Amino acid sequence: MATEPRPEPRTASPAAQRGSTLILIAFALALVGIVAATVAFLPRGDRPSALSVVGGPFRLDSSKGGTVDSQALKGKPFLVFFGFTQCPNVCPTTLADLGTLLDEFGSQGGEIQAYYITLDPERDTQEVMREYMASFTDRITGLTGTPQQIERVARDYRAYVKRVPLPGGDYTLEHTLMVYMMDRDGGFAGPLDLNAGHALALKQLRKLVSDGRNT
Amino acid sequence: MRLHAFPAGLLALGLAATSPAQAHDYKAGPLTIGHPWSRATPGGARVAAGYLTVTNTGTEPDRLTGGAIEAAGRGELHTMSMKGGVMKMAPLADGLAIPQGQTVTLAPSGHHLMFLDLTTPLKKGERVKGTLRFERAGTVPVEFAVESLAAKAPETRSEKGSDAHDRAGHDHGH
Repeated sequence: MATEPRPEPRTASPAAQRGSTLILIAFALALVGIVAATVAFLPRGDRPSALSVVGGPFRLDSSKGGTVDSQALKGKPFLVFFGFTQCPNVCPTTLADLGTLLDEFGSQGGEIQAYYITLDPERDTQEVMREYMASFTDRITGLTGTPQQIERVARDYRAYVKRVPLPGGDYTLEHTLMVYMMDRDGGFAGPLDLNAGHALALKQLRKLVSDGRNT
Repeated sequence: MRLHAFPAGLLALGLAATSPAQAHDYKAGPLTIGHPWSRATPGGARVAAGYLTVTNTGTEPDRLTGGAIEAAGRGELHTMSMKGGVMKMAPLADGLAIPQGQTVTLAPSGHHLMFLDLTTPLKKGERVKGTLRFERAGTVPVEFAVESLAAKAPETRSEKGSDAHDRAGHDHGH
């Protein structure tokens, strides 16, 4: 992409070069994981069952109070994505972008709910999520839970998450940044593409809502 | 009248009156710092990000080692990348080289400043005071223009050709 920074010059210090090598190795390792995850996402055969390999039941604390039980979502397609509130770059812009899209879909008579599941349950309490999610459309609900509950839902959705320590003693998270389209049976219906413009994404949503399921 | 007696004061006035969408640059020795910007933060957010360009017109390399804003406890230099749908993050422990004759861009899709322990939410349209730290050029005071919550790029660019992502209709020129 044009916004990619220029590479470091060859005159970089040995320490920087060592750092770059380590980063490259880390990327290479991560890439292996991503390829494996991508393979896991591939439809197996041409008849994906309702018991898709991606997704699963959850019951989590809602940013709107109370809990959200995926059992109660049966019959309606929905969207899921993962993030955390101490994410400075892509999470808030994705939330804002998705919010605009869902409101646009709503104004066209379409209705679909999205669930933003935190991968940082220790810091993202229900109260933190309530305050944070209030900055975005009502059509997106924030979800949190115990670390065990979050680990389980992330595993079911094949979401990658890794804690990265920061110099100041804090940590940040690396994670899957995909908006999952889930059909009315809770089966995975593919990723929602937010990068190709809203026209295409709206088309994807219309299809998801009219088909109801991924067949 | 005072008006023509203090051109520097006028300049400061002009700066304060400009909208955040208007490009603003800073000079620090051979470095030109182009349009530092940030993004409005959601309710209760504890972090914010800072983006800018640095052009080194000198003959010696420099290095960006950190940055800060008054509204946050501390700042760190990080790099982000998207690989196969996964957002990867890494701290830039050694800072970021600013080679002579080059422009280095800090942007949402790459290197950026991360401000932690945010004490005051950032609001669209504001300018927040901050600093950038360079190995050679020292500490440079700057202001970050706060763009909308959804902003993936500043409303305007201050460096020609540094970014092909200018959104049509939002480029206010130079």
